[in-house]
Amino acid sequence: MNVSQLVHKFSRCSPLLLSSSYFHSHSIRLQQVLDSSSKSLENENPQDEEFRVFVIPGHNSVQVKRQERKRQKFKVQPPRYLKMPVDQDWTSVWPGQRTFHPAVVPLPLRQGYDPKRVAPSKFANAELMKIPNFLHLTPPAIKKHCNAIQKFCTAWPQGLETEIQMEKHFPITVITNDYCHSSPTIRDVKARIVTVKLKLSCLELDDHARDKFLRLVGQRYNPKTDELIIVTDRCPLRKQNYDYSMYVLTALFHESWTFEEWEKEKSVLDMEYYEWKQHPSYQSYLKIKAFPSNDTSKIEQELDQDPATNKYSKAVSDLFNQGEDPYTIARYKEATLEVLLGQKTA
Amino acid sequence: MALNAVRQLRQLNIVRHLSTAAPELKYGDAQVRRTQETRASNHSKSDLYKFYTLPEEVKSSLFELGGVPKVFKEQSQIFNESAILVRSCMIELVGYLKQADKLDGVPCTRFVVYGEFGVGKSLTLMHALQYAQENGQLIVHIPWALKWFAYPKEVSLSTTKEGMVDLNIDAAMWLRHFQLQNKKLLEDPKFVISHEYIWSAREKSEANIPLKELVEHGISRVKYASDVVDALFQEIKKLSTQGVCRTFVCVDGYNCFFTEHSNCRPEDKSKVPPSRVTLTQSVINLVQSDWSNGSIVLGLSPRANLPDRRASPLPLYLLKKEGFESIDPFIPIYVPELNDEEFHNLLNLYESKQWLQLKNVRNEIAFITKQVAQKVYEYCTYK
Repeated sequence: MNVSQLVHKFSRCSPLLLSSSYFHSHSIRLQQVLDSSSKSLENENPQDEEFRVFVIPGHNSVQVKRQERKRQKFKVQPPRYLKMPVDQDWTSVWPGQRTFHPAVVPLPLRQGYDPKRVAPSKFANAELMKIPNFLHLTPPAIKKHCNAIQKFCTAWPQGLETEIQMEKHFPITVITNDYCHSSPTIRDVKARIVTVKLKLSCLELDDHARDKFLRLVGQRYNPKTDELIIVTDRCPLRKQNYDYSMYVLTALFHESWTFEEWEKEKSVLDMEYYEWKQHPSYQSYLKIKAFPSNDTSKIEQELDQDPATNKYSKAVSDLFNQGEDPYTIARYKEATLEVLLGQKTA
Repeated sequence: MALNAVRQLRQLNIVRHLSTAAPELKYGDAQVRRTQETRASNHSKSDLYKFYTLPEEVKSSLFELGGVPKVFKEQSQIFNESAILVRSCMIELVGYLKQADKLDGVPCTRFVVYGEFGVGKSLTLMHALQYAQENGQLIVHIPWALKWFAYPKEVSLSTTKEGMVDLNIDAAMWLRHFQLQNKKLLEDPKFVISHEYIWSAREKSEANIPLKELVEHGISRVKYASDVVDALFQEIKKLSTQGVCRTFVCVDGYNCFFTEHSNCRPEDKSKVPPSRVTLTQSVINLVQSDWSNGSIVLGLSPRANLPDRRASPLPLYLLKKEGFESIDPFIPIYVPELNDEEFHNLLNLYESKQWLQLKNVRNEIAFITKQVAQKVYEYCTYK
């Protein structure tokens, strides 16, 4: 078996770990065989050469472990909050609006949810950074702020201490918005919108005028709060919109006080509330009271003073105006019992 | 039909089974509370929440041709007795009727019985009808008015009133009902019609003939039944006002006269609302308060309305403005769900009749049925 066959055999066994030193050593051995007489000077250590070990990878060789790279350690300052004195001035630590910073805030905050462990702490906690904080708006900060701007303020006017007084003297509320952006322009189209709010009770309106006013304003009136809200945004400037809303308010008021000729055509169906005397219910009631005669005109005036009739008329009107519920039905029953059977209830 | 027959057979089976079963209480812990007072006019507060048995002769004379709700009819057939629970609304209504009967020279008073579906409005009306019969009043009773508009027998265009529609067979059937209910009273010679009615060139009813003959004419000549009903109502109004008799008008499902649609289709297949039916006009005319010496009891039911308007049992909602104004002012009487005492007494009855054979299910039944009498019955059927 010659060397090349041997080489080939071992190369089959482990082609990867066939080291170059192996080739080398055999080539040297071949040289020795071929040229034994001329012992070369290049072989410095003939002893080693004799006892060179045949290396079978994995069997009699030990792989040298690669040295791990040393991690560099930097010296980090401890978080700032550990050094903070207890009586420090917080407004100078956190003077303005800022994203949450765990090292600055001396509070043991936790935010988030972990199914197995306690909630994550404040360090490297994105949830805490996402939410807006009000650490710059602590009561001492506000107090300080107020003290600082107090010199620009005038005294609160006398006689405007309560909400009722304010509403009485300043019935109209005008709401506008200013916008501040970090953009090339300082203008915002939304700044033109003017909202005017007022209580309808502060306007002097009679029944007709009130009805007409409500029909004219439509959805802008909220009957629950008695509030009228007019929003103007059709003009390009705020001043123009404000002037327009004042004009609209004035026009609405005066228009509702005028009585046009065609308004006489308003029929029972157009009524916004139930007026008992305009409905068939009143006629049938008159007939019952006038029975057996058919002449109802005589008793009409007497009935106006009759307490039972008044109670009944109120009950019927309430049934239609307030809507039907067990309470209004019970009032109606009381009234009809008194009218029809003469049975008085306490 | 087959289903009906099966149901009847089933009922008969149960009746037979019950008749052989021992009469003593086997399942019920508590005794059924009953009152021996069977006259509706004598019921007082001491009879409250107790059962009384509707006498067989009252049942046959008043409700031979309708007036008993289907479920109660079925129940009384199975139980072999018509046990009616005396409830506070019944006593209240009868109390008001007694008061109204004492008033003189006053146009007739209207009462409206309202409540949820199945709570016992029709039984309240039955109780009031029994009261009226005991006091010898002329009874004008329309059992379930919706039947005319939901299942009309024959629809024809009216010959006397233009644009109106007649339900002649239904009208004749109702006349028969009226005739049966007032068999004794109609024999009285005082009941005569005031003026002549001409039905056609050859047929007419002369003045001063007995009212009975007018009714019989309507039954025999079905073609004129609707007009006869109208004439009859006019005559009844006059007779009551003159003081010949006291009249008791009872209409169940009154709100169906004010719905938008009905199943009445005349020959030309056009849609006719109840307001264009002659019977509607006659009934609405009858319940007006232009006559005296009578009382009117009207039952309202969400079921008498079209399905889109059944959300609330309150009168104004059911009648709408038009219907409300046709009967305003009226005295509303609310029929509530069964209270605890009534509910347990009813279940005692069911246990004694072995209609309910399980124990410790009363809370469940009360919760599921909301203590509505009809639902309690139906739930116990399958329990």
